[in-house]
Amino acid sequence: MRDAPKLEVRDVCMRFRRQGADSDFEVLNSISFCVYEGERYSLVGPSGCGKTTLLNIIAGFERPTTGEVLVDGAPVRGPDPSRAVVFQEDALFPWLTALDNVRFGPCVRGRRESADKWKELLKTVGLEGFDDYYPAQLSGGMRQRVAVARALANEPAVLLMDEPFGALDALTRTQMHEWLLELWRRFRFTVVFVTHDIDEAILLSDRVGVMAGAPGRLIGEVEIKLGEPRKAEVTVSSEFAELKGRVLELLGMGWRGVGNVRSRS
Amino acid sequence: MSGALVPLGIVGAWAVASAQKGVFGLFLATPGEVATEFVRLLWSGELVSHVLASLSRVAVGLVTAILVGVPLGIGMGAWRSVDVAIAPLLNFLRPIPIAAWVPLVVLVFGIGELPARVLVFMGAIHPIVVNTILGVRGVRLLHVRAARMLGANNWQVVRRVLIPSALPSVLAGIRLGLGIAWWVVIVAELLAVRSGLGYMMVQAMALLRSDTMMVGIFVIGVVGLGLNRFAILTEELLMPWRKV
Repeated sequence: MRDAPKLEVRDVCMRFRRQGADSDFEVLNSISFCVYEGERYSLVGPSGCGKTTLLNIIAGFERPTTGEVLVDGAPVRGPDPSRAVVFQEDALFPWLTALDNVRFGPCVRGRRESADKWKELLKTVGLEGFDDYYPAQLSGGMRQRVAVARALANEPAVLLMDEPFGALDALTRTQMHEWLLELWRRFRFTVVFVTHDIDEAILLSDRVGVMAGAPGRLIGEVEIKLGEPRKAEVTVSSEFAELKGRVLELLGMGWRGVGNVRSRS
Repeated sequence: MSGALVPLGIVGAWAVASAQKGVFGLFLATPGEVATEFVRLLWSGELVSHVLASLSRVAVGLVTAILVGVPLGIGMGAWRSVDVAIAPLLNFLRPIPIAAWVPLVVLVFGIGELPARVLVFMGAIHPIVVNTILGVRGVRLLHVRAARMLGANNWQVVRRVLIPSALPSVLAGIRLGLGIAWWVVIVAELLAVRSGLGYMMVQAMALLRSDTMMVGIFVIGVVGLGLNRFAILTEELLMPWRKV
């Protein structure tokens, strides 16, 4: 028997009223899943399937039409420091240095801690000596490291990541995967990771939730049992290929799916 | 170096023109005469007191324009009802040259400091309001959300996100306002007040002293450049992240 879930998404639906139409536009259809302490959960699905909307609901930026989100058993009522977000785009405050970005959360919450603690955190994410750099002086990868440090500074119950490496080049992205895996081994945070990259989802997760679009719904989950410590090399192993096959099949793009397309043409 | 060629050419042409007999030679002072007049005005302290008189009016008018314009711009940028109530009036007033207001303002406020300050205020407020509106509307939802999820309350969002996001645009508006204020104060001083560089120049016109007028024009240009430089340095100081 497992512990109580850290994060519970319970029957979340999201509909928008359509102008001049008699039916509502359904973005999310009855989404339910749980994430446990220290677990890495990825949501993978095609563009427009509502992944980001779902993450925004978990973060508290948007309210679901029905259903609810619970963190440590308490319902989410709006954005608060129990759920830290790393955004898709670069969302650092450009007017603050790396160090001031990282300690923004503790500062607004009235925690007075010495700068050394946050310098140490920047060092942990691989940015020793970049304390006084402004975001504009850092590379895309470095900025996302600061964004992760800023999120972790509040010691959130759940870390939410919305395609955080989507804007990076392929090589930097692979480096960031290794880096995130290492960071997780150190902090063991609970994380929900949204992506449309199946390899990324499998590599970085303990469990992958597969979504389909129109309306957005969860169509299956794949347990990822790959050895620890996990490294990027695992993406070329046969276990990895098999897991990827299962995700593709859920998405209707497995060999059977492809066969169907062929027979039709 | 090559940037000095055109001005030097103009001074050369001026020297030739002012040495002619006839109208040009009679009314256009030579470069030498203007330089002598400059030294005289500087030495007697007249020039400095005129410059300070003009600058003090710019300072008072501009600070008032900032104190009124920035809150007004924030209100118009943030709330539609405020925008709808005030924008038509400002859009109507903006294209009217401040020079057109001078006779009326003098009639209402008399001759003195007050009408000059009022005219500076009227000229400087427009770019400050417009740029503040743009700055407030340019705040990114992403930054507001980031601050919220990190635990910021409403007031902290205003102070730590809205204000720094809007600052570059607001300061650019103030810099434009400063340029207009310097332009307006000279015009105001031609009629509305009995000191300052503008007043020095109307007086010179009455005495047919083209040398004094040209000193005035030169000093207005140099001080204007200095003010712009001052504004840029202030911006760099207030927004260190923009310099990188």
